[in-house]
Amino acid sequence: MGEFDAFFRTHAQPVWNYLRRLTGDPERSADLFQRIFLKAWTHFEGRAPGSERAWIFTIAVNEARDEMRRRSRERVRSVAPEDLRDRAAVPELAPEDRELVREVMRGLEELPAAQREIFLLVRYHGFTFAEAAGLAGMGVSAAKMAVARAHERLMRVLAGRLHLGSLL
Amino acid sequence: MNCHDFRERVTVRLADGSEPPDDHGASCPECARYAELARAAWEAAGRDADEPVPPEVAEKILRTGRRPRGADLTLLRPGPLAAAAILALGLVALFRPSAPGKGVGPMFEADGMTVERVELPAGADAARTADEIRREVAPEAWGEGGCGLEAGEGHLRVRATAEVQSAVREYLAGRAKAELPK
Repeated sequence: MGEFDAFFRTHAQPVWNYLRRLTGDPERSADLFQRIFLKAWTHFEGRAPGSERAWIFTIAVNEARDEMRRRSRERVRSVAPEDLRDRAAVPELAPEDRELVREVMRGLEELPAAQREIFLLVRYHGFTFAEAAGLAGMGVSAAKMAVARAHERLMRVLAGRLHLGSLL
Repeated sequence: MNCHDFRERVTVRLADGSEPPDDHGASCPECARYAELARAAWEAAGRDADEPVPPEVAEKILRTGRRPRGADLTLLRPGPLAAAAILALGLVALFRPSAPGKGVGPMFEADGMTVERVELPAGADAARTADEIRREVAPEAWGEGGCGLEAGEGHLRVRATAEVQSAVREYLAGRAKAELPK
């Protein structure tokens, strides 16, 4: 197995997860995914050994931003209900929990792109605030604030569901 | 620590697993409930299921990854360079047409791609045809994909893998067929 094959097998799934949650659209995700790994392949010799994960995510963040810019600041479309059903279908969850996850994810889809981007990096991909800030090209305080605002949005969704609006 | 500070730091604590510097939550039931809600939202987001990379998308990338890179600098070392030059001369001699013909046969390049000249039907707009091909035939192959397409006077020069060359020929044949008067 070649070096690029091994690299792809390690990083394909996390990058795919990132794009699916970021765009909410399988076709856009597939298109971006191919661009990202094609770029990685083209510049593979220039990667910094030992920091491949940060390297591929930097490419992913930049490619996704470029694509969003190309779409003239168009808001990412809402996830189709059937798509949400597939994504939220974690077998071990009770039906009411699945509904809850679905609602929280809908809240995620409605976040501004910059907040969603940084929230995904920290919440799902285990980047520290400093690492995520570096990938997204912002300061650590701004990254913390973006994640906190995104989290707050999800809390509002949950509070509405649990009738705890007075807490926020 | 007051309620505002406590709430401001809830997300950061959940993300990095750190503990609050004092136990404000224990003395403030509202903040304790707030922290519970914050934790529940954080965890609910984490329960969103991952989905596998579509196999056809993964396969496409792996196929590209197994091709030699056009910019592979190892080819520029003296040994491979000399071998490539000898090979190229041999191939030029082998594929040089014996008499002037309609087109030029394939020229093989060191990265396994060939350069072919494709004659277009009379009156065809070469630049427009090239744009269509870039859009319709293996769009990922052009540009950074390593393949190239050049529009000339009534012809195209296509630098591509055998697979893409054949897809271009098929596309042009289909297009010519569709344009025939019925």
